Amino acid sequence: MPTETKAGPVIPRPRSSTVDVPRQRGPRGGPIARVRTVLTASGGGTPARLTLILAILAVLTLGSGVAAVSDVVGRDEQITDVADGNGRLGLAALEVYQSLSDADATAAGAFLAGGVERPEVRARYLEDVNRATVQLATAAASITTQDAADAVAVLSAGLPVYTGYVETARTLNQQGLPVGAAYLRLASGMMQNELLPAARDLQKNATTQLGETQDSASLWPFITIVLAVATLLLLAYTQRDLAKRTNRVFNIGLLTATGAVLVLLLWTGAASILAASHISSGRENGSAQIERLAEARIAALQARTQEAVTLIARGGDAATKAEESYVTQMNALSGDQGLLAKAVAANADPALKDVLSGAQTTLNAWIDTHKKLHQADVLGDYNTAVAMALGEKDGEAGKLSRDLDQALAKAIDAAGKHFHEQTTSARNSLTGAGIGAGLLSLIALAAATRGLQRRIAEYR
Amino acid sequence: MTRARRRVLAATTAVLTALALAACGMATTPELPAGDARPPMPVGVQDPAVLPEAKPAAECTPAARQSFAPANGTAIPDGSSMAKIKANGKLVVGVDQNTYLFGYRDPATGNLTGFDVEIARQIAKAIFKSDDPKYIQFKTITSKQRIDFVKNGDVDMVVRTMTMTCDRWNDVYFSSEYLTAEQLILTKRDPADPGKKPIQKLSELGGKRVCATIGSTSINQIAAEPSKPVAVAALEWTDCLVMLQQGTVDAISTDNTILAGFQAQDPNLVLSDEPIKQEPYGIAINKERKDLVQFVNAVLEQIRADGTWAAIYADPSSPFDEKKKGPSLATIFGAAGPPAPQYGR
Repeated sequence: MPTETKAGPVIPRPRSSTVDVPRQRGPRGGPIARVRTVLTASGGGTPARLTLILAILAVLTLGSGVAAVSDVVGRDEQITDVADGNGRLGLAALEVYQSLSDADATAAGAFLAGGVERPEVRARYLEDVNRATVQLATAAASITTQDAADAVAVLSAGLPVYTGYVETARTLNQQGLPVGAAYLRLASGMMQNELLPAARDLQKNATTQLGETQDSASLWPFITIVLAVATLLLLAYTQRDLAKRTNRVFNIGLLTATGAVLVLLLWTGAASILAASHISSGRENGSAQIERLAEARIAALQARTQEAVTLIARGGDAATKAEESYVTQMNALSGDQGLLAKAVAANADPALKDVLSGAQTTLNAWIDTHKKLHQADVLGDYNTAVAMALGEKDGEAGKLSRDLDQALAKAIDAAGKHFHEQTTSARNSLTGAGIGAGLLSLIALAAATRGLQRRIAEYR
Repeated sequence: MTRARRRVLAATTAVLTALALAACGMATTPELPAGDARPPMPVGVQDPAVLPEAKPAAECTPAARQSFAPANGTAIPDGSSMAKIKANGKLVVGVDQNTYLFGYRDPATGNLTGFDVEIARQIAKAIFKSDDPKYIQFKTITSKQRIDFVKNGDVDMVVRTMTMTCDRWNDVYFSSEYLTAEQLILTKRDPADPGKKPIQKLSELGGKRVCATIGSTSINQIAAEPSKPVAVAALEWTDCLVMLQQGTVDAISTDNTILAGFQAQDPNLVLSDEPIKQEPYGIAINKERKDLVQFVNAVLEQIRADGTWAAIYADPSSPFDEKKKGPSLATIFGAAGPPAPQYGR
């Protein structure tokens, strides 16, 4: 601003004909100072003052509306991503991981049984491979990061090689050739050292992204709250001010605007907070619990594979190594700080309490049985060891490991349902909130304009 | 078209192209990397082998093949080691369960069988005068465990494709030689010339990848070979076979006992004809049990003489059942008699 304007003489303004209008003052200082001057003008209620209030109200009302609408729309997008994008990738990755672990354990068990395996065991292996392949394709379609792409590449390239070795092992075993055991160990080693780590990477990657989206979808709508509250405060101030200066207690326009903004605040605030809490719940007792349970389940399946491989390796260093891997998996799974205990501690579903405590009992029984069968194997009683490992009777490892797996699968299923329910509820709680907020803010703006314009007009 | 208009058009095109590229960049999924098409390696493979120090085999007198001559035949005097085993109710034998035709699980029955296992059963039979399986307990042990198990008394004896060497004589006693093995080379048949004479010597394997197990005498020999083959060490012999079949190694060099079992499982493999060296197999026994060594030697004399050795050689899986003739050492090595015992210790 040129300095001469400030320094120049004050141009006198024409006096207004209305008596109660106080003397107009020339602008002094910067724009903020000017606003303050207008608002705190001792005369109050001047058209300039009211016009300024109306302008600020318009900005705040529209701002609240825009914030509320964009919050609802953004949140809805994030929830859609939780349900269909990252959520689907996460679940697909988890399915790949679990199916591969199960395929490995099933193939090892079938091999150990020798000869032609039982049809249901063969079917289970084939289903696992089928599910892993299909879910891998699903995951591949939704990946967004390079790490996930690397993992998908390892899995897509490795899975057919793995199944090739499993079939070679199976054929050789059925022909009674001992080298079949080496092929099975090769396949299992490839699974443990290449495919499962890649599946784990893919799943971790998806979970991290899902968690980030869930985090931002469960944020409170702070901007909307701040703007709406500011609007309400200004409306309240203006109404009190007008009531003081005029004899009218109520200004219908401003009252309507207050109502509309209040409804906007309560509706979108409540809807967003409700959605946020559904998302949080879907995470805590849904996706995060699925992850914990699946980690326990996968550790159990890998321990089961190693249990079979110790016997398939028939003594020797390969058997010793497999036994070491079994102990590693079991140590991670069992105990007070183990994966299963963690999943049980985090469980909030009363319907699963018995299932999970049953799983813990089963796990302990399995550990005992394994010790016995390992002892039998070391002492040369191989057939007893194999019978105990494959046995489907009470207290035998075949039944115990399967019971544990089924209990965990049931819990994962329930957590998955919870995740879906909560995500759907989150989405439903936002229904109409976007359009509602938009309309309410427009109503508030129109009502406030009308209410104030009348007062402004009175001065003309 | 005026210059200004053209400029506007060019600028617009550039902006639109940039936007389109940015949009494409957003939409593309990350690139899938090229994979590794090489076959995977079995668990625990050392490629190349990690070796402590390659020690040449020591010469010794009396020779590694010489054992103690039998003293009392197959009689069991009171207080003898055999009497103690009898009192214990079972003979504990360390064997392998992974070497085809020597010590392995018959996949159909899950039972232990093979030449070593049947020899051990003959010794239990001589002690207990019965072939009831309850009188023998097999412990499956690794090659590395053989010496320690005998020294610590975890087993009464080890019958597990064990070569009698001077070094080993320092730790344990051996029975007389019960089978003569030879170190050979196993390779794949050349697809271009299937009738080609197979590789005969380690010197022909310079630069080639040759497999043996970790800690075996063979892996040391491969590594020490002047032609410089690449030694690849595996946890198990069968892992070497897998690698040979998958083409990740070019050859396996070890005892013909192991290699013959591999050849029996895959007709596309060829064995060298000329032995690199002979490997006399003996039964390892604790050094405090010289009487047991002499007893075992008497049992071996007996089975050499009465045709039992030949029957086991002809079919270890079911030596005395004509109807169940399976693969045997005889079908692979050709007819052979038992090695003559050498005594003199």
